[in-house]
Amino acid sequence: MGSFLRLMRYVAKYWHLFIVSFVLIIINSYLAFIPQLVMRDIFNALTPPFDSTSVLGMLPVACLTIIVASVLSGVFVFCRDYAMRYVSQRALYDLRKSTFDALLSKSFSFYDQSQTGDIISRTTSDIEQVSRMLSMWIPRIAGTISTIIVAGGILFSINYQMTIILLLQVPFVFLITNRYRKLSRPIFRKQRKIFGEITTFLQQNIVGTRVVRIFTQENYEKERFNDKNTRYLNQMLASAKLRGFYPTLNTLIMSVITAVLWWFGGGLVIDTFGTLMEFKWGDLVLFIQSMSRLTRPISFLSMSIRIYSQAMAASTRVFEVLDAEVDVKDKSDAFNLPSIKGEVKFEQVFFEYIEGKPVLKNINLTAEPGMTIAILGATGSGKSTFINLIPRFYDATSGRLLIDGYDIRDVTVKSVRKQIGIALQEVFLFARTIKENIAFGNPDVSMEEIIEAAKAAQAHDFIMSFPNGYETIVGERGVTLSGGQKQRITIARAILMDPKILILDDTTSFVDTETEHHIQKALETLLKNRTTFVITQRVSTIKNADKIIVLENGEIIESGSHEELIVKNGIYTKIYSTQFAPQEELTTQEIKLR
Amino acid sequence: MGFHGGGGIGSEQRRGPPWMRRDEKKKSERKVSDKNLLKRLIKYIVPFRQRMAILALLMLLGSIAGLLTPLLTQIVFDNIIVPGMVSGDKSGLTWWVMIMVALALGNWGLNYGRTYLISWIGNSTIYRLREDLFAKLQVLSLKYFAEGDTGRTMSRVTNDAETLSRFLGFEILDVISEAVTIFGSLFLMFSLSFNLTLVSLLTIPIMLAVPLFMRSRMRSTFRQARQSIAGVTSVLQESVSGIRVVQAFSRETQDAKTFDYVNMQNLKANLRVAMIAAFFHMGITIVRVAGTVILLWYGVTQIVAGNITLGVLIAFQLYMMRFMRPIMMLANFYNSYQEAMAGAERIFELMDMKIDVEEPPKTRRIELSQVNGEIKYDRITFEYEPGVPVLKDINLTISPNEKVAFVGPTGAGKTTMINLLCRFYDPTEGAVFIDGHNVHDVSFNSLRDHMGIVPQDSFLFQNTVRENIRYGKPEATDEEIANVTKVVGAHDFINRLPEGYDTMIREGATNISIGQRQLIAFSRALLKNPRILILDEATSSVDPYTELIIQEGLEKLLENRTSIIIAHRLSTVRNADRIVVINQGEIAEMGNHQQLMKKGGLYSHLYNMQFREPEIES
Repeated sequence: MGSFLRLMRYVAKYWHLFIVSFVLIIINSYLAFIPQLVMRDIFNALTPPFDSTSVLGMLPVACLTIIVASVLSGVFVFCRDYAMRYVSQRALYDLRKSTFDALLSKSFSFYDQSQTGDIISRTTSDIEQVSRMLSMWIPRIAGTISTIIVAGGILFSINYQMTIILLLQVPFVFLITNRYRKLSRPIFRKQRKIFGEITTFLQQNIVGTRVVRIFTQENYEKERFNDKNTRYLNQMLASAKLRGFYPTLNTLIMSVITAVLWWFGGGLVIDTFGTLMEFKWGDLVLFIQSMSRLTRPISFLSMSIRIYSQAMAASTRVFEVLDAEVDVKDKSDAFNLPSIKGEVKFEQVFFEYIEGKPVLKNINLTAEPGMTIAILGATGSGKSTFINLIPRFYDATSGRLLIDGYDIRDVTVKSVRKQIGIALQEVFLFARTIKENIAFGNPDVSMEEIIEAAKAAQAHDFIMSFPNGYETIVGERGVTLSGGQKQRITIARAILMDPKILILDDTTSFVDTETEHHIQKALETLLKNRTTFVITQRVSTIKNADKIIVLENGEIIESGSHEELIVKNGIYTKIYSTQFAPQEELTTQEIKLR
Repeated sequence: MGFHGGGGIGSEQRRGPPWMRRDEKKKSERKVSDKNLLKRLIKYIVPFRQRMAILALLMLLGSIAGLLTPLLTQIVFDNIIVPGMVSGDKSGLTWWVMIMVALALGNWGLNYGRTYLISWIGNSTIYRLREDLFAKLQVLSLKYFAEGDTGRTMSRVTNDAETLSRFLGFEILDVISEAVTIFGSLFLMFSLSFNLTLVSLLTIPIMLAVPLFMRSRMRSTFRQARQSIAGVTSVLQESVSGIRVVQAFSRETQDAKTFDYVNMQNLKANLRVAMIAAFFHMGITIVRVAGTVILLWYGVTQIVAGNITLGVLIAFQLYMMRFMRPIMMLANFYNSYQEAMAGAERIFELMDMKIDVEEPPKTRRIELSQVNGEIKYDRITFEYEPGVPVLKDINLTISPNEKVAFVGPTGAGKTTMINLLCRFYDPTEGAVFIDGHNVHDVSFNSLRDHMGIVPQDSFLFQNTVRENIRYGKPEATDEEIANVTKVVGAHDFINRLPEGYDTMIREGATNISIGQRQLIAFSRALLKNPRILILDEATSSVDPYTELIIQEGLEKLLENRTSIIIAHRLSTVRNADRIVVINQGEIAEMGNHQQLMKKGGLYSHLYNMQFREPEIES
């Protein structure tokens, strides 16, 4: 119910259209009934022995009435349809807009916990389902109810016994439809689930072909696919059995009730013929026709509960996204961080994603403006979390983080991030032009500046090698870039920001030595005069860092410059000697270590 | 690119996926004749011919039952009620009602049988199509996967198969039974009253013309709506996938603006659809009324003139109500036929795709039960594209238990060397031998069973970590798994995952880092305990700290097997027995670290670049 009321707030803005629609619906359910009533009169007049001239005399008025009523009804239906669709489309637009705005403001923790596909389906198909309910089901439900009341009332005044027989269908249809729903719902759910499994399985098999072949699992894959395929077939057949039985059972009941109407009504016509209380054949025809006209709305009404609950489930999913908590947000008295020099200070920082499982423990560190800090540590030691705290992607669980002496929770998020340049580990480029990608952080920048940044990032040459140069579109529908090329574009993007604090969570995967050399040169330009935090495998970057910190299980276990650490003979010395040092230069002491 | 796209350029140019355009083009210019396609399709329904025959019979009976109802209505009026009004005799009515109920029961049975059979035939066809397609995907050469995109292949197995089976199992028969309904109705109507039939058919052309006239407009409006929703989804997809970048660069405002634009486009397109749909609805209602009025007017004058009875008029009204659906159905049949043929073509195209790398026939296939691990590349030349050799006349012999490293710039042909060894491709010239057997003669399974590869992209399945690791050896125990993960230094981080070894890997493995992915792929390959171990950039994204752990364990692991290591980070390769430097498809130099450093060739250049130069520069 909560969801429903909340949903209504989105359409409440258009309440006048709603009222107009409802009035139209009510008038229309009477208008739509008029042609049948007119025909009834004519047929009744045709009861033998009839008077030819008076019947023919009725015709023009009758036909005109039918035409006027129908055209009016057509126009009303048009207005109602358009009005309702208008309301629902506006609501769709508004709802999507606020969801998207909400998505932009969600913190990283939200995205850590959710999957892209899920978010997208909530924002597209779920919202659409809600809007469909508004535009189609609400007016149809209202229309059905009003038709049953209006038509039922008129029919009742003609003959109450026949009306009762006619309305007998209502409980039957409800019972059968509900039974069908109850039995078929679990099957449909299974079908959807298995179909989802089939698609995922297929997609995985295609993307992972090489792995399948290497591990010679083709037959195993085939077996698994056919197993899912068979299960899907069985579920489809199970639902076909139900579909063959129940909905057609409805038709059977209708036919039987119609037959009873004929029997009873026909009897009435014969019995009352010539009496004062005559039930004429025109009346009979009216009842038979009403029977078939009411069948659909009634079976529809019996589905409405399901449609309502589906739409509510969909809107709940939408509202979940809207309501998901934003952990990182501006304080009410937050002010803009003034232009900074670039001093970063961690004071007893603890961080945990899950309560009781600290990922960072008691981090204390001061980075002077212009310093380069290299971070070493095993996968899962907390390196990425460490750097994610600086631009406030997450807030520390306890302790505080100061930039130029300001606690970053006291200033606006935007003003912090504007002054930090970040190149993330998973290089993400947008499916736009290279130019737009480089200028992503400040779109208003001039072409000269973009080229300058690209040159500094050693990216200009390969960009110019594309026929469209900077206008080349990258990504799925454009040019595929190598890992190294993407990385250099990311670096150009960060350079263009000209930040005082720079964060590089970089990886040299799939980059050959030559390219790495280029990136290395690009980085040297980039690091100058900036406070830099870097997670890297590059020897020289680590070696030349002002401070190297080694993280283990969320704690800093070693910290200092290369020279300081190498004499400590700890874990850093070991890493350095096996991986970074040119072999010939290893000291005897280091060789002993190996 | 914009010119052959036809109408609605603008936004389409940026967002219209190129494959869509390709597909649309395909629809109109099919390469295979319908006759050929139909012939092959028939093969898929031949096994179900008996059921098809029964279904056809049921549908025919259903049509006939449908035709009878209006006729029976006429009979009850003219032959039972009217005489009854004079005689007061109701007995005929009871009989008549009993016939109606019997007919309804019969119809119910028919419906049940029909629904079930349609579903049975349709779904069984889908089942077989999917089975065949999937089996084909398992033997197709890797070349296909390197070129084709996943979405298109998938839609063949899901959507196209569905369209086709619907067509085969249902639409063909439906059209036949609807045709029976139309001609049967016409026959019965003419036999009841010739003139009244002609009059009642008057509005049919208009009824048909309205949708035909509006169809092209409706279709283009619907297409715009579909395109605009595709725009919404694509912006959304991009923003959500790139949200970290968006927030890091504080681009929220601009992104909200972009989204608002596509959202608004979608709103406008949807409102146009609403307008045209409402208009269509109204048009149909008005034409239908015209038909009703004409029939009423003419019918009543005929009754008054004594030419027909009221029963006939009512029967006509009922026939008219049943007329529309079959006519629309027939009008649409051409479309669904086209759609099905296009789907059939895409499906058979995939099924017929040539397999470049074929397994030798069973009779002369060599099964390698044991492998020493000697690998020999004998005068290998290879080209992906004719005329562009990737490898040129490579000769290389690797002895059992040797540890060899391939080094060289990107595109030098290192991964190709491995692709040839695993027989993902066949060499253009020359041959690869394992223990003296040409890999060309060896069964795929026995060849690849002896190899463990950690590929560059370290693809993981959407399954638990445990299942991923034991992918190549499903019978492996937890203990064996733990042994392997400890060696590669993955055990600790896996245990720290929310559900340890039972943690589900998400699509694209987004819930773990690239380095972690590589470690799991590494464990997976080692668990097989292969004779030949191939590491293709296996640890490129692993941090130095973890690399240290791996290197310590690796020495032991590589001891009793032949291993090939590809790495850009030269610290990983300098302990190899032999380093093979590949440049531009040729072996540039070969030797161990010391020898190559002394030689001062490409290797020492690369090595110095990695370890020395930055120091010199700074």
